Amino acid sequence: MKVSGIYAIAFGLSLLVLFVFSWLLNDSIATMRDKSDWEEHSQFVIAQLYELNVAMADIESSHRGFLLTGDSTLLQLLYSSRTRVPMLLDTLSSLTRDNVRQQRNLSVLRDATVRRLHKSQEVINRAPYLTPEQLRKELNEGNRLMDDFRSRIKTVVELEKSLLKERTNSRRIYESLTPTYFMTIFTVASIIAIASFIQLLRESTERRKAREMLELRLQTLAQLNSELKQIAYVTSHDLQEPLRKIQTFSDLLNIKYGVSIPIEARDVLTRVIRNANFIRELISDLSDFANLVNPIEVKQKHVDLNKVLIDVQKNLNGEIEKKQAKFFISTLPLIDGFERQLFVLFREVITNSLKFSRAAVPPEITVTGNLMIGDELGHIRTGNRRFTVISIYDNGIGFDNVLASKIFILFQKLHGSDSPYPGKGIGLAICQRILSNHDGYITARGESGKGTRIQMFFPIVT
Amino acid sequence: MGKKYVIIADDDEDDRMLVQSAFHENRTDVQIDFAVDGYDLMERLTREPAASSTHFILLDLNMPKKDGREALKEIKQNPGLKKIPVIVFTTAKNESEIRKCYDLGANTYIVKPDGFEELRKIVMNLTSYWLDTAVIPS
Repeated sequence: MKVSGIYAIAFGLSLLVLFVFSWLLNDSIATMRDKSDWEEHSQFVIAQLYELNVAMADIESSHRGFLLTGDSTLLQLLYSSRTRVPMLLDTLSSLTRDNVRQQRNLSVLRDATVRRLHKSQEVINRAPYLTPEQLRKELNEGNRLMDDFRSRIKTVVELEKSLLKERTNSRRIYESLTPTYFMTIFTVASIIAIASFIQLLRESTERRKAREMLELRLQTLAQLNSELKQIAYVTSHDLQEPLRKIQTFSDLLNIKYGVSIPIEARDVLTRVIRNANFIRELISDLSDFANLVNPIEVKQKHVDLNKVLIDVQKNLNGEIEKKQAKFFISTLPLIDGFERQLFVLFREVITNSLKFSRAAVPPEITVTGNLMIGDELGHIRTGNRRFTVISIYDNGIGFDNVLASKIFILFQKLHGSDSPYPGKGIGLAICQRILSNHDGYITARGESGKGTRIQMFFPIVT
Repeated sequence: MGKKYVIIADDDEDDRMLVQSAFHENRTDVQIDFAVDGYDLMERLTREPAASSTHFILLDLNMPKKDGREALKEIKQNPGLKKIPVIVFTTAKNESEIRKCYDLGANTYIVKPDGFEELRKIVMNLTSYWLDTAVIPS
């Protein structure tokens, strides 16, 4: 959870940096293009100004040539250049709209230009009538106006040049800074990416290790399980074989030579047989229990517990009649389960009730079934699952509740072997196993000398 | 009437001895031959007198090399041998094993008893039924 969080944050950060990076790059390209555009713009303005200057110089030389020689063909250049001047001025004026100072300069330049052209046309018109004195005066006047124009245009050009210089510098600075800027971002992004990659790698390694560990455990578990199966098989078969033979040979000895061996020896033989029988039963029970751990029944079906109880009563008929036991059974529900196991379960519980009855008190066994929500189960955490609860009460000898948890342990007995309650202590362990196979629970409560209540909780699968 | 011929196939020496004792307790007109595994049994059945005059086979299931199930299957698939009654005599008492043996053609299935007295009774019943009562083709 924690590791994943770090990884997620790192991943988010690198993603964010990537976005920022691409946005900045885009922005930077735009700025660069913009700066470059402005530079070109200034260069273009300067070029236009030079062209204007050239046009005016042409006009001036053509004008002066005509005035000095009277050769009107010289005026051709003047006329052709003069048509370009307003166009150039208009272009310049529209180009410098962004700069108020330059506009003002340009307006002054326009006035100077117009004045020069105006004066030039006027002098040309009057040229045939001019005296040499007047002509010289006009030439001087023309020079003065031209100087005025030159100084005006120089102002404009200089301003534009300084603008160009400024723009070039700005672009250069930007150009020189941009790589550093991007390099920094790129480095940061790389570090984050590498860090998150390492994190990812570490996490995946950890996961792989955990998975391998789990697989190993699973393997061990499978092996243990298979060994348990083998033990179950050995107990149910191989161990029983020699025992069966001990029994049969002892029997054979007894039948064939019983009369000829001393009474004392026959008593020893009887004890051997009795113990062999007992071990045989123990092993048989153990084998039953082991078979419950790996049951043959694998598919649950609807089981009518009423029918199961009737079968159990039939099965235990001898003992029931002997003890004159009475049953009080309410209508029990259908549950999903393993029929054979449920038969064994009820047989074990009822057998206990019959066995642990009070002396001279006929057993009374009550069986009820009802529904319960998981929360009501007290110490067992079951959430909101619903259960079918089967309760079996008897009026037997009961037991001390301190021992309640012990009675479900395999081969744990509450009564010594000398007590009037013989048993091997496997019944309730089998019951618990069967409930486990049904994903259920079994509890026992007793009251010494009064009775026992066994409750079985079967989950209702919805 | 001559001796009846019976084969007991069991790898366990103790069991062979016990069954033999039980036969002797019951009757003396039976000749018993022992086979110690499935191969031994099948080999015995190809020779005389087993090939033509076996009255029944008492067959243990768990034997080395070739077990009782395989031998049972072979006998019951062999046209010359399948008439011989095969009595499965074993410790296994689970439902699926019993079903399988009958499916393979076993004539009877008996679980080995715990006491000698029961064993004696079983042998008595078996011999009285398969040797004296039942009729099988010669």
